[in-house]
Amino acid sequence: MSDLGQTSTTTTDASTWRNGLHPVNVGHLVMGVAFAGLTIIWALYMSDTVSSHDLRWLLPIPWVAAGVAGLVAAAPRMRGQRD
Amino acid sequence: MTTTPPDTSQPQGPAPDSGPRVGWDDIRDLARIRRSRSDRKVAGVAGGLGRHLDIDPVILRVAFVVLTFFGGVGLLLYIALWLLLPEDGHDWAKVKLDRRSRTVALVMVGVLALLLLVSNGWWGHGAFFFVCLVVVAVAAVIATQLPNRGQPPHVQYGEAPAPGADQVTEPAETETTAAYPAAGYPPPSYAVPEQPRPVNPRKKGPILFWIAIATMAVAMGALGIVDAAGADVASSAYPATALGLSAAFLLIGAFFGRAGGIILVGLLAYAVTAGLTIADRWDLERTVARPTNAAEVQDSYRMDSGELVVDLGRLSPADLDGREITVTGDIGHLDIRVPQGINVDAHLDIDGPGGMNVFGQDEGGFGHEMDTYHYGGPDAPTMTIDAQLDIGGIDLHTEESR
Repeated sequence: MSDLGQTSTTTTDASTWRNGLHPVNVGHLVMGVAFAGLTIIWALYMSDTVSSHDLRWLLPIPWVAAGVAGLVAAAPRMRGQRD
Repeated sequence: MTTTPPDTSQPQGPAPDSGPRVGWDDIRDLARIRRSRSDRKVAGVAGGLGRHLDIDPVILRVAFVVLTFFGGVGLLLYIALWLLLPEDGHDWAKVKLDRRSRTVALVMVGVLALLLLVSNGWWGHGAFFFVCLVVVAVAAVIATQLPNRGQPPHVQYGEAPAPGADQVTEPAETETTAAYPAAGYPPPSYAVPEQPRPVNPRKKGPILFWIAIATMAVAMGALGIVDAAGADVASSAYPATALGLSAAFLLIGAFFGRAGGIILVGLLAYAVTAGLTIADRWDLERTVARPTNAAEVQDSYRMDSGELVVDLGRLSPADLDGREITVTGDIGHLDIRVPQGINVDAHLDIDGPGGMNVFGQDEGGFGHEMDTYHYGGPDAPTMTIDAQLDIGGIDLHTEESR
């Protein structure tokens, strides 16, 4: 009995997880990467690992990385549409 | 039940592009505008406006994007219209106003947008813009959380389990329309019959917004406890925690669940983090350089952050004749005083947000640069000043011009 119940629960959990997965949301990916990068830069700055002079070239990097991540994520979709 | 059975034999209404052209009176009736459900890229604002104005929505989308680069007006306008305009088939928007109030609100939004447009861009009147952005953001959060007032209950598509979604949706739509014939106002005559909304494959799984908010509350609360226990926690660590968690939940939401709304939280956290980080690192040390003779005048003065006063007011103009002085800083305030009776050829540059007051003239902005020439009088000697700052303010003045 208990084995059966456990199996059923496990199956439900796995099913719930699968149901939540979806094709990549480019907007969320882009902003997630950008915010993650900005958080890392904040941590580096506050820990004095980088100076305020370095911020000038550091701050654009998260946005570049975010844009690249978004383009990479969107590329297969665009290719699929063309086909 | 008093519901009318669906009449599947009738056509579903005219195609969106057919029908008579829109007249001036139709255009002036702002309360008729609806966000389009069939022609949408984000929230259907441009699609609905394009239909109302009888123009191609692409033109409006381009205008929104372009206006975003001119003072952020496009972004604000879009958010405001998203909040104020109901969707096709609905009489209530996210901000629930009746027709008259909605018309007034739309006019006010237009006036506000115009004011922002003629102002000086994102940073020229930065405080004004950010107040507007915060007000709109708060309104968005409140409006989307308010219970629906006098609005027909939303039909759950696919309530009845059936293999064909289209076959299930149509009876449900008909039932909704028939059950609320007199509620609210009659739909606009040109309204497109409510179409079944295509299921967005990226909107699957649990809503992550409230999980993210709860996690942020726990994390920031824990940080507060650590702070109270005596650890040295920078004030910017709180919004930075929210920023980091926004990033984490957005990255999760890119592949699993629905992360709608977290981008807004992240943007707010980013703005607050930036402000508090500057405040954290703001060393209020004030440095004053006050040379009393020509030999003491240096070619360059520099500070990292705080306030740097370069007071040349005690020198005679002849002491500064032909001198080129550079004053630089990262964050803070540069205060440069020159004596009277000298021509000043000045170049001032602020890389980031900030403002400058040059001989009584105020200017500001983001990445603002100014070349100016101050006339000291006939036969006056000339000096050159080059002042550069990353963030903050620059004052260049004589004692009198201040």
